[in-house]
Amino acid sequence: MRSNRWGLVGLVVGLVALVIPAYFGNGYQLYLATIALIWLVLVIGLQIIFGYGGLLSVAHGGLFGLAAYTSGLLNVEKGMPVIQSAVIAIAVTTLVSALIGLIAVRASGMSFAVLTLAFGAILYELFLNATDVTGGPLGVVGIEPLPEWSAWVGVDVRPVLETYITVAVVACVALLGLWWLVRSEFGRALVCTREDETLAASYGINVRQTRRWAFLISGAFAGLAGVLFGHYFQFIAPESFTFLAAFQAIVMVVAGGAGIFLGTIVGAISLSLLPELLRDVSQYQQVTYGVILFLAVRFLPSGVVGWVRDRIAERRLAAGR
Amino acid sequence: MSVLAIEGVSKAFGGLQVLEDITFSIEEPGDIVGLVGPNGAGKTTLFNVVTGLVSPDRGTVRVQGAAITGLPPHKTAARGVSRTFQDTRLFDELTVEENLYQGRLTQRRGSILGSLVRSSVRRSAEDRRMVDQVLESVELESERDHPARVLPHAKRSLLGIGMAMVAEPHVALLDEPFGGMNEAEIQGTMGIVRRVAERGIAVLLVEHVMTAVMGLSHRIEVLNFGQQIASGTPEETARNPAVIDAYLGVDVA
Repeated sequence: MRSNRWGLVGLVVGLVALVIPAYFGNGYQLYLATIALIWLVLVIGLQIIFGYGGLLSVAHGGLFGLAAYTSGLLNVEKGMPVIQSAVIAIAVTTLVSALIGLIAVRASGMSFAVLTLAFGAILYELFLNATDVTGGPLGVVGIEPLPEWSAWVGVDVRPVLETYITVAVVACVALLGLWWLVRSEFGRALVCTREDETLAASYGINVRQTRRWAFLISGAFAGLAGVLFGHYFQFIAPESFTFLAAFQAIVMVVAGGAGIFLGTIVGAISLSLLPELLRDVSQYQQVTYGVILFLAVRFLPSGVVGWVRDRIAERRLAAGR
Repeated sequence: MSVLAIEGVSKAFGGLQVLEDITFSIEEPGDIVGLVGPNGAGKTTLFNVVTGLVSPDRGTVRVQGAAITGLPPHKTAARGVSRTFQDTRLFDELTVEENLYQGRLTQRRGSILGSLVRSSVRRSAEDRRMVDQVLESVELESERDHPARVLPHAKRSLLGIGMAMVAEPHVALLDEPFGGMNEAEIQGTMGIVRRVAERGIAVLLVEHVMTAVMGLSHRIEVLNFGQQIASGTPEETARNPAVIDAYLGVDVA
């Protein structure tokens, strides 16, 4: 029951945090908040397979890109409306995730990470080298922005705020999805496969099937994030989707708290805002993420939220005795 | 029809014959059969064959008459085989109660989509009653909300037994549940293993603690180097010269 209360706290904190920029933010602050929410959606995806499933996926940078490219290209080259291209892109990404999952979950631990690294690299190389389709290193320009709805609803909002609200609503739905998944029998079984796969199997859990589905769902979230990313920036290029994108998301999961609902939000939001605080040394951005990962693994192995949770649990245990 | 029947099971790893034509059964629900033998006799391998972690080279394993040979562990579990582990494996990050609820789901897994829809925190009245009963049986009520990782060794073993119990299997395989326990803990745990049997669960007990095996088992099977060297009541087994030679004479004064 404890985890429920924590989750509720997370939801409330998350909702409040969403409203603040909408009311007080200038254009730049809204831009930062929107980026943070797009990262949040990607990190939710990674949290499922890595945090709850215990399988480190480095393919998520590539999956993120696959959705951005699919939707962007369908939109620009085929003139498909954004909603339609987005749905197809997420479906394609989910399908590709299912195929990767089918192969990758035969391994676990380091082998799983290396296999996903390979798939991520294949996707990146496609973006870079399938020049006829993807535009190669120049990327795709002229992608249409996320759909506008304010005129249709009949309210008058600034375009930046409108986009922010769109992304915020999607991020909220994604967060609710994670919340549901974590509380479901499936989510609990996934945690069991992480804790001890032999024991999980001994209690009736089909370990590989559970992991395959976790990877598929996780990839669908990466797809959702990729679609938001492409249509938000209206321009994409291969370098956004190297394994460094996956690496940043991994750092966010670890620093916030792997396998902890609230950790997803704390990690994603705080670390996606961090580069802005360190703008003067922006050439060292990846170094910063590396240092944070090192510090988290060394001093806060269960992340910031995990650390706080463990201190509270310790007190409760001590008081109970 | 036997609850558990092991028929001519053999298994070799490379050139090493770990199990050689093992045949025995547990006839009635609630029977306790002890499986003893020196380290390396093949006891744990036999457990692994029954649960499906290892496929036998020859032979058949039946539960309630139906062959389960070669099924993967999650399927043998669904057919009513529960086990505990020598190294007292638990879901360490889950609470004691959550571990038991997880055991409760063993034979009830449906489709993945179903498991995505069903909540893991809303529990049926029957499940709650069952988990409460088992918590009481294994004497862990006061640790109900503790994460499993904080439990001391003896209580980890009890929770393992509780998980096997709450799954309501046909047969529970207990792998050295008395390991590392002091005399008082052994006595208490013997009572708990009896409660498992009283629920109509057949028990196959691997154990080195002789007071426990002799005190609990209706029958005993003795393995040595993968061979079945004796079987019978505890008294017969204790008098059997082959057994004394292989095992009892060395270990139990």
